[in-house]
Amino acid sequence: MGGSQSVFSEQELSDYQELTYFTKKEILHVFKRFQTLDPDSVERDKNAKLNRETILKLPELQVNPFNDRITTVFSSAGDGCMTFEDFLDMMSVFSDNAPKNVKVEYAFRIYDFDEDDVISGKDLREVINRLTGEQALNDEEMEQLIQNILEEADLDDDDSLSFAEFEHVISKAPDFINSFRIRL
Amino acid sequence: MSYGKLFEENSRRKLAKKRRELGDDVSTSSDSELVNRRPKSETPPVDVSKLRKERDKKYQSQPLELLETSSSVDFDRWRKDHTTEQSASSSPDSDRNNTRERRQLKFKSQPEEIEEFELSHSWDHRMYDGREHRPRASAPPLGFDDQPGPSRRRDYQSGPPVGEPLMDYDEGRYPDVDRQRQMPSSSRDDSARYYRGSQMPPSDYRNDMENNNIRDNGEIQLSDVFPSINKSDGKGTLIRHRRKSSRKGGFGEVDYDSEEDDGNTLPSQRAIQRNRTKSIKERKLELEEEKRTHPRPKTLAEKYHDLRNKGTITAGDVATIVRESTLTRMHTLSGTTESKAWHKFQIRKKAFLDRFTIWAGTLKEVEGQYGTAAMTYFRFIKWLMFLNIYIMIIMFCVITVPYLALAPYTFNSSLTDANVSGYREAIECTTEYEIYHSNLTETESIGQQVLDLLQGTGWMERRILFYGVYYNKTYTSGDETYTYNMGLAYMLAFGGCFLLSFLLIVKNASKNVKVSLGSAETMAVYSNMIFSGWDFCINQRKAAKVKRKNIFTDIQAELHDQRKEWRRQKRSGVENVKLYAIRFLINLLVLALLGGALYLITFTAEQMIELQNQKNLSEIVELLVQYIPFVTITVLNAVLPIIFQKLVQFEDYRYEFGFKLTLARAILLRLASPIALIAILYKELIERPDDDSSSSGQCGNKQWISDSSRGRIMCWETYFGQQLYKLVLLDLIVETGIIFFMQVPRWYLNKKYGKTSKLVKLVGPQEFDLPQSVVDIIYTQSICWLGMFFSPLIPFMTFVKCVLFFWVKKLAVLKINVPQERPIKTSGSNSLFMLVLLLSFIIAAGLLGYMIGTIPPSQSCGPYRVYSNQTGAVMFNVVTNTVQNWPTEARDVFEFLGTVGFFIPVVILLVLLMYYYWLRGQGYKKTEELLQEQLKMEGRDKKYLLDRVNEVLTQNADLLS
Repeated sequence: MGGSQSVFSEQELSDYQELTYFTKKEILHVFKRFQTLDPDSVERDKNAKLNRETILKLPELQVNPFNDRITTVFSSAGDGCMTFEDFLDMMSVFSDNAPKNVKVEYAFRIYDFDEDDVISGKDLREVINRLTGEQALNDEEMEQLIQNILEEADLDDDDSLSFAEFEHVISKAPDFINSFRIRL
Repeated sequence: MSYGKLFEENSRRKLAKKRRELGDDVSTSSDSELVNRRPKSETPPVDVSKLRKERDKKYQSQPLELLETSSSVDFDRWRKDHTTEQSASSSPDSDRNNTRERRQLKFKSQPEEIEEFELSHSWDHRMYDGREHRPRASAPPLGFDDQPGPSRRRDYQSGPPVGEPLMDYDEGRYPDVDRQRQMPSSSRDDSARYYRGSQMPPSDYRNDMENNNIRDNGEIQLSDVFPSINKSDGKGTLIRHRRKSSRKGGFGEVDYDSEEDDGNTLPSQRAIQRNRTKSIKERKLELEEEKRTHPRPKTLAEKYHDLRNKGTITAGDVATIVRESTLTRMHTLSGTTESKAWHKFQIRKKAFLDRFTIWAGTLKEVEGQYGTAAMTYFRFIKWLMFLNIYIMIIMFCVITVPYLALAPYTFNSSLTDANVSGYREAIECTTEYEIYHSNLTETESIGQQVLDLLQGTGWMERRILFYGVYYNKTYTSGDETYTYNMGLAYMLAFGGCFLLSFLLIVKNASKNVKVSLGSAETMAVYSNMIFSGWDFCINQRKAAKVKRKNIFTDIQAELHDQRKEWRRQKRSGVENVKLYAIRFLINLLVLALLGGALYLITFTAEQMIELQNQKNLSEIVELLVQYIPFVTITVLNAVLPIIFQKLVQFEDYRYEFGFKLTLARAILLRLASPIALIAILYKELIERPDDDSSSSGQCGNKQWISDSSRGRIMCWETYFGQQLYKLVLLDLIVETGIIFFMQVPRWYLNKKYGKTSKLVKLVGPQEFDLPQSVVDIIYTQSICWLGMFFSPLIPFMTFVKCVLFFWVKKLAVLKINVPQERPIKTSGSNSLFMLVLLLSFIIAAGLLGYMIGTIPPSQSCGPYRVYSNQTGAVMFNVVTNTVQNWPTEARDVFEFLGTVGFFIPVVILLVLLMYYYWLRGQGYKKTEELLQEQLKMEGRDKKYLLDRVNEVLTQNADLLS
């Protein structure tokens, strides 16, 4: 721990602690994980901006079907590149201690592929396709599924989920809080 | 907080941000300086083209949004104004002449000016009244203005919107508002193109302009009333089409921060955007800002030090600093600082507790391979392990350690001389038991001793492991001799453990229930499947592949179930009758199986006790006999659930329900089997037939026989303890045995011959059966609760078991097993498991409470034998006897607690409380329904209004053309 301890000043650490859901120890741990992604450039500059490919080396993201969306959403520049702070922010949102509403908000942005602030049928289709991977549902099944989801969640019958509707339906999806999580 | 204050704070923040951007040294200028500073004379002229380039780079990826809603602009006149303005801006004097308009324009980017306005009260509200337009929608959350906020974390949810652009619009580059207002409508494409080529006016400006349009011209433009049509609509409205076409016209790359246009959105949308989560960078900037504007007040010592450094100290100076410090202190105390301190304490607590985190690596590993559900199982084991550690510590500290540490070392000498005569029966029984036991152990061979280890008999019987050995102890302090009342200690330790377990279970269960309660009926199955389908913890390719497959099968099966449900609704009466008949029969069959299993258990237990009295059995046979009931229990528990699983397939339930039913049946069996065992032991050992109380049984024990043969039951509590000890031991052996002798070979065979042999492939590797594993571990824990009283050793054994299970199961899960084809949901099962744990706890507590309250203890052993001189003595006497010695008031209170006069009001109160909460729950349910209805209605209203808007727009377009 001594090595990474010196990377941040005490002040920086307590600032990060204020800003995230992590303790100091966990922040250093996050930094370690960040460092393993690209030891060289992080060694040179702790605020190094790692590109999407490097970030996706994180095992959890590597296999995640929404990894490109996650990097985009959490990248402060919006291009999928991440600095340590972005990375910390991401891990903080995915941590156990982040409250549900924060998670819901990010989830909404991740699932909103075309970034039009609603999850439309098209977005849903994309989510489902990415979830099932190689085995694709046939059209009939897909239609039935999307209809079912909209029936549950779409309260105003506009065939898409606004954030409010999404938040509402997540409150009825008890697994969400368990699954939208990355252990440190 | 006043509007002005809010605004002031806000602008100050933004100013600092801007300065930072410009490389200005912010820290040197104090607030008052900022306010008084003339911006014109100090801000260096900004290179517009450079800024533009920067901006372009920054917002390249942001799409152009809502351009078309800006009202029409005359391109040429705009440009003319623009150029004149630009030339004018170079001289500060001419600049001052037309401040008014510019202030309105620049209020976003030039906070200094606005502050001036605030100060001089010359703020023109005309443009802002009538609409709830907070300046730049970035009003800081309440409580942020003059106090350090409790926690920055809430900024995740509150506070200004994301990506507050740091664009620095130089003044004088916008057209005069009044002129703009008078401009006739013209092509919006033109205006857009113009914006692209030049600098984009901030949306607030445009919006204000539009508002003025409304007021001045009396002509309402629909795009002003519903400016955010595109945002919320989603279907191809006219406006949507227009936007698309304008994008096609080459505006796609026009950079425009989406947050900029929130003046153009519906109020609700604006609120959502305002509440949007900010990135960590922005939060960090704000924290710095706050720290800078609200620096930590110097402590008294620091102030004093400063004063001393200055040189002379007068009494007046000291008084001043003391007064100041006191005031600051009071100020911070009255503010929000307390919650901040609390928050800090929480962080520190968490950091402290983190040090004791164990097995986090394993949990992560399991999670990565199996997902969250399997991880919860391991977390559950860990939780149980800690529970057992607590129980173990209490038992050891209160019972075992005092027993070992204190004199006297025989029971007879523990009795006070005064009333030895009263304990005659106890002494006799004890002596007989001791003689019998020492005869027995002296003649034992090594082999027998090993067998004793498995049975808890022989040399083990009279150790601290079992209830039987304990008796009162004394300790001397100075001249006084005190009695350590072992009976009371036993009772307190036991009660304490149960209370602790109860509290911990309730705490844990409520955590789970909070998540899943209320959602059980209204759970959004499909949304749950999709939006929480992916387990973000998964970090291995193989696991991801499995997960994908799981999700796929899950979706397919669920859809299939749905179609089946549709068919079911159409099902004919005959089919229904047939199905219900099948279900009824299967339920009967299940009941019969359960009954048979219980009968088998009681039968073998009876045999065990009977055969124990036969003297001519060899040791091995005796061991087998001793273990028959437990082997029966274990085998039944292993086999019957599989049968239940097969049976449920005929019942044609929905998958989830069928699964839960099977689980419930298995749990029923699990809980019933030890209870059956205890019942039969009770019948054999204690229950006295009313007619002959003298024929058999002495010393509180029906099986007491006065001869010195082997295998006699001299102390029924210890005997109970031995049985439960055997049960725990066997469970441990079987569980680990199954993994090492069945699953490992199966895995090995699969690995070696899986590709060649069809049979091996058919069997496949062992699936990780999560619910069954959870039931196993709950069973272990309930045995622990049952056996705790009779054998203080059992919590320790259970603790060891938990650790062992953790490692063995980890090995199994990570190396040998494969994930299930269709695993069950985490959420529902979790609370189910806690419920089962609670149920088994209540059963154990009830049984033991009954025993303590009604069954006379053995007279030959245990701490309660001293009460055997009292008629109808029970273990609880230890408490009543203690209370007798209390002062009268305390005794009265205690006795009152036991009376009906206390009991009935308490019950009534509890019932009322329950009723109250139930009513409240109903109320919330109703509210939820109403809100949902409201949401629907609003949605419909929105749709209707949008349609109307489109209609009018089309008409307008027709009229224009």
